[in-house]
Amino acid sequence: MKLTLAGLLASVALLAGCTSAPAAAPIAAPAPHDDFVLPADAYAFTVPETGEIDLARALLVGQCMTRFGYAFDAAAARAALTRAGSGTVADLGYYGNKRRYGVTDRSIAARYGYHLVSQMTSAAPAGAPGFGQLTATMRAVLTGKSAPGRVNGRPVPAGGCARTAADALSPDGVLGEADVVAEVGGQSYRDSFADPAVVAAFGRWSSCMHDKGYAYQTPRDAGAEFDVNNSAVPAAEIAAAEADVACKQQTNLVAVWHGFEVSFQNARIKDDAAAFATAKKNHDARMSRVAGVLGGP
Amino acid sequence: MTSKRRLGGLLGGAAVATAAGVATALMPAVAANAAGHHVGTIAGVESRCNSSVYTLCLYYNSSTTTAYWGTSSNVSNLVNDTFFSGTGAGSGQAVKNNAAAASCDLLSSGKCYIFFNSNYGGNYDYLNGQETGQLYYTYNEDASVKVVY
Repeated sequence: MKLTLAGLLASVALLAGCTSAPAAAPIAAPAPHDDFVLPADAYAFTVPETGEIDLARALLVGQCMTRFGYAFDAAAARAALTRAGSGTVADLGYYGNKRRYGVTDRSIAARYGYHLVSQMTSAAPAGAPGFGQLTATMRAVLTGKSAPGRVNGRPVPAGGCARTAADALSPDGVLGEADVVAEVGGQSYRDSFADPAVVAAFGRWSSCMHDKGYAYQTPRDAGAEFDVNNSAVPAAEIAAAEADVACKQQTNLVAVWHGFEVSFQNARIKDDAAAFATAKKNHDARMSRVAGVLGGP
Repeated sequence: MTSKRRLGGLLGGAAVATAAGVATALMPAVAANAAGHHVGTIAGVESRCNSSVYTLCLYYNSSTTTAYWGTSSNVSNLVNDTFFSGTGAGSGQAVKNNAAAASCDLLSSGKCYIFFNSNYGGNYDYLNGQETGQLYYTYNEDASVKVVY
């Protein structure tokens, strides 16, 4: 087998944050970014990449707005969005899988319970990054809604500067690659809830939680009763999150759940190799355009 | 999990939820991230969402002329939310596990996220500002929402 990232992922299930040794599941080498990796991730955008796309979009909007005579502080936009991007990686993980199986990280459970890390550690950027406060006309030029025909002598394009920016990143009008990558990620997750081994693991987890005094049936229910949109993490929430993580480790739930998805995705990718290869090409082309806008390597 | 079926009329696809919770969907080509799916199209933000105070709106049906619900901040469990009364088909119904589409009224940056599980867990769909689109991972499986400004 060719030694490609896809090939590696096909033979190794990468699992992070799990300290129990799975009995029958494939091996766990620590993932480089402390997040769960799935086979489809090799063909998709990472969370940092979506942050770069977001930044490129903001810079393109800014450039467009300056053509209408508005001031735009690109450096301030970069700083604000880089901070916001780090917050999203902290919350959702490098591959976007950090909360795929709920809370699984003992250190996060102990400090944040079910709260998002960014809720507790960062402030949202004020106004539109690079612009500060927008006037109604600026908003109209940006969105194309209720815009005068011309501003500062220039015609306002349909969809405003937002559309101009989107078109520059996706000149063919397609916002991304083929849907095979999305399909496999969605189906592996939905099908996991009906897989007998996963369902059995949910049952063991639920019993373990019951022994600790919690009535959750599945990990989807865990922690749903807490208000996680405030700056306080009550002791009860931390206790529940810690119990949740402990029971997941004790029952090997995440290895079983993740293992099902890895197998499912590998089989689907193998069956449709050409389509996934195309998806990867489109991903790379998109990131090339983004790199051009960001002016980086 | 709802057993209701709604055809994705807007984009010509159909999502069918079976009793076992397995869903298949035919979707147009949109950007994908393994745990997150970009469902926004650059059609612009839906007009009621645009003129409201809300930043992230969810719709009862994929035709975004039906009942809607909106928020400007994160909601970690949609269990107590209902589609606003008097806003069309689906008014007063539960929002949780019952939305088909979303619209995002952010401006030049940031994202609107919709998650499969409460507390921002599981697969998620997202939109950039000034985008509207049919839910994919979270079609009828929307449990929490997050706005990143």
